[in-house]
Amino acid sequence: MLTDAELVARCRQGDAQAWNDLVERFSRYVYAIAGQAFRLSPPDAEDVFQEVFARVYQHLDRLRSDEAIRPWIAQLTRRLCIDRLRSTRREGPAEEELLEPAGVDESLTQLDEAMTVRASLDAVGDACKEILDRFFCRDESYRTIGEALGLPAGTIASRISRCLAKLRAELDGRSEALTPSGNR
Amino acid sequence: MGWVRAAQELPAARDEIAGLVARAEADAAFRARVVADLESALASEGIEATPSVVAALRASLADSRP
Repeated sequence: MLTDAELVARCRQGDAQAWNDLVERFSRYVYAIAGQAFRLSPPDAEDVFQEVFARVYQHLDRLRSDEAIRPWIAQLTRRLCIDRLRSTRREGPAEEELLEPAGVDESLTQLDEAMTVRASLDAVGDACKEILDRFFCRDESYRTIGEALGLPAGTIASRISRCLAKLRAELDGRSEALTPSGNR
Repeated sequence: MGWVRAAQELPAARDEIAGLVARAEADAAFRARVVADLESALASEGIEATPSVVAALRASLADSRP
């Protein structure tokens, strides 16, 4: 699976599939910022959604670092949500802080973490992704997982443990890569 | 989700949008008409005014010279 930076680089080269993948990768993120964090109505959230990707497409060349695509998209979405809230206000213009619903920063942090976990899950391999998804997201029992995957129920716990260790290593790698000491 | 598909189809509309923006840069009256009603401007050029295309045109016009 391509990293965000690799995907951006391919989009710049005019790779249509890369653009499709980029939209797919960030679509839920953008929609969640507009819908959950800023609580826009579905029509307003759709307008913001389309505006975000139109601008990303238009300005991809201006992105200074390909790895910064996610924060850039987040900032763009945030700004466009505020513009949307401002335009629908009946009273006069207001400060950004007054337009933002309470808890926006916390929501954005949670969405960022969810994106990071999701990307890490994609990186640990299909087998681990499936078993972790079944256990933690779908809340399936060892027995159900074992039956679905053709594994003895007794081995599921150790598999989950190994996959969690792999996921942790992946997550640690990602957070190191984002710090100044991470050589990126 | 239809929104995702619409955004994915943006590159296909790129040339048509670029043509409209180029005309708008060269012709102030045309630009004023386009800015006043993006959907109608697209329709009159035979371009389907999907939300993503309208958004792309708006973004391109914002970057272009009046």
